[in-house]
Amino acid sequence: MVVPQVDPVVWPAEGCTAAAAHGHPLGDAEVESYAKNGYLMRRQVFSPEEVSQSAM
Amino acid sequence: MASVGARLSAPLPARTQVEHLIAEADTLYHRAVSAANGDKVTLTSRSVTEPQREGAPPAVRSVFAPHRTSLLINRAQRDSRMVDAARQILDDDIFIHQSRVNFQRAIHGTGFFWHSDIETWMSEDGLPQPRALSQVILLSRNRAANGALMVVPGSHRFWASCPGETPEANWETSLKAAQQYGTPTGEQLETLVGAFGINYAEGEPGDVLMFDCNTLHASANNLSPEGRCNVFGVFNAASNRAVGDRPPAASTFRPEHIASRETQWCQPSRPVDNTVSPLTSTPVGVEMDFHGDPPMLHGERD
Repeated sequence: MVVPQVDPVVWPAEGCTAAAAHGHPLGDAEVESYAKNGYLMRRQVFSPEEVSQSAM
Repeated sequence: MASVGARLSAPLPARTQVEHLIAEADTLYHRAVSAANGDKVTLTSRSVTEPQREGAPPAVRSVFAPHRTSLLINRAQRDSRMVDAARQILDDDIFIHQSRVNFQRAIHGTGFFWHSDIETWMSEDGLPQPRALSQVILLSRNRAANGALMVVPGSHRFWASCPGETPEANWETSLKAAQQYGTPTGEQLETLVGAFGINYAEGEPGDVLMFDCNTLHASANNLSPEGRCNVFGVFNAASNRAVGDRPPAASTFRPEHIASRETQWCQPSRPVDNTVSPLTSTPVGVEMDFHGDPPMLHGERD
């Protein structure tokens, strides 16, 4: 049986209050997209432009 | 293979962070191939081989706990952009419950059947609540044709109760062959997939896919000529550690390299700024075998 998940899930992340303390790399639109879809593809988190020191 | 000493003395090649991670994954793969033992997940190899089809060469499917043996991958998974994003969503400190490098080789790579991760993490690992997420660092192109993850958008808001009882040591085979337990029924799948459809999580090397522990997902066989390699990290809320002497639906917990329970590995992860202290600061492929977070490095913060 498929049922709406109500308990004990804590979702969507209520207020995302930890963001203020730890930094908030995700913007509002990203958080909303994640909350709606259950996934999020973040582009180029590890960017090809981030070249190591050995290349400098 | 060059000795560690030779590697240390040789100048590091000019590589991007992603290229260093790709090289590290390649090293882990070949180490696992030589250590793999038969057709089961083994404690010594920390790896699982592919289901072997007749005529196909043996291959490693997953190498577990690379964050415990590879400083490079440890630092990538504790990158502030990863840790802070998980903290933001889970509204808590986090620790890495599980990590692995997945390899899906060209032509022969096999997929995973539909499932939501939290079913196993609660029943076999003892996590109290669905308060975890996965972050996947793509190290190769992920396309529908080469087995990119398929997700059912919105499915994380529904609970599909899975039938059956978990057999003894289910982890020895469930991570390798078609999963028999902890998967929704055909009717449940038809309901959820029919209602929400399927999205392919396609992306490029360096992209990071985040998905909720209850999001229904699967991957198809890779019949294409393009292999696929990704680094998985399961970020569990610090308040959601495994509890009890045994998990709810198995006689014993899964082994430590598949699911963290040891106290020192369940401490809140310290994020590291890899733009300050680049990922190349450690020679590729040097096994660290540290226990717990490695010593504080330049660029780390509490």
